[in-house]
Amino acid sequence: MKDLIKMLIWVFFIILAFVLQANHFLSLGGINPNLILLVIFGGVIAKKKILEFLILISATVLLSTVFLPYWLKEILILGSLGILALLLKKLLTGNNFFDFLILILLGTLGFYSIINFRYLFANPPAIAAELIYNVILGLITIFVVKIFFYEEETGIKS
Amino acid sequence: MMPKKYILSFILLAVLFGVYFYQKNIFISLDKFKNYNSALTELRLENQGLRQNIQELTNKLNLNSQPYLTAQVYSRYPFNNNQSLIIDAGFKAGVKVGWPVLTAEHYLLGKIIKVKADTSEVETVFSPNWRSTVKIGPLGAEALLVGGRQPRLEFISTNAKIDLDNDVLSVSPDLPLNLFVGKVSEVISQPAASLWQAKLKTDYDPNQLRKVFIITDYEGFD
Repeated sequence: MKDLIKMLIWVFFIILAFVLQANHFLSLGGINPNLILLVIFGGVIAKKKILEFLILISATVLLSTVFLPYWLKEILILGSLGILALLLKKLLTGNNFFDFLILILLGTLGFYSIINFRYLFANPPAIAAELIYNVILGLITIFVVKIFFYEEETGIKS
Repeated sequence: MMPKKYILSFILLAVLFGVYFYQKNIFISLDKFKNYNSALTELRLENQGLRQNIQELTNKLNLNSQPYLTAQVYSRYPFNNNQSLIIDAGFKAGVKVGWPVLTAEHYLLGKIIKVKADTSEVETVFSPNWRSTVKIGPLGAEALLVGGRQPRLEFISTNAKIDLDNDVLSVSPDLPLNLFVGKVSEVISQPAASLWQAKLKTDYDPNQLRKVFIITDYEGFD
């Protein structure tokens, strides 16, 4: 039951990310943060079992056919990057906070290297702005998750 | 004990003050009402002007010489590396790859690159993969239009005479001749450079596009 609720929370976050991403809702100065990347890499950090993570990726791909049906290739690339990150997770620092930030940085650059290598050199300020934006949102996510889990584990309101 | 006449005088004074302030408020309210009314009249006039502009633009879009299709923008590319659009016209509507897409009459936006049954993907001049030849200004200086968030004009000869706000027109063989692309917003000229660069600005925001026009029956050289 607890696992089901956790999965539903993840599904909620995936749908929220899709809706905000598709509508450029959090776009600042024309820079749209990569919320789907944040959710997937959040999953890399939070999910301890490979099977759970694969279910998360499958749910993301399935939901993308509804919310972002025209950009399936991009979602598959993000999913693949997520799986790669999960496999190479042991090579990171082991600290969830730093690992998440490292994954956001590498993931953003990795995504554009695969999807459109030319873009990396075409507009470096836009890449830098997106990296900063993604990291800030990542920090906010960590902060929120920390409060949530702190409360859940200790029962003490932070 | 206070005499009755003092109490009555006090009440009278209070009533007088009350009437005075009440009237003052009435006049202030009347002034406000007048201002609202004049603002409303201004808005009505502005609205009429905008309606006329819309009508003029609609009339302009009567592309009698060139058959066209109108399509709604379904979806915009969700990430930052591209500015392509999905529109609600596909091969069921006869759309073909390569057909030019406009934002308004003679305003080039891009071209169709993928066609599905009911939808098509439009590569715009804001896509980093966009490359097309253009001419700049009244003397027609040639340049290469390189797409991107801020499209650039490259390989401009140092002998070319170009100024800010010069019109940039498409002369690419795969698109109709002389479609308006935008205007020169900045010329980047370095003394040592053998070729110049310039930045392009458009009158519209690609993120705000809701409707586009596809020129049909166009067979360009690819």
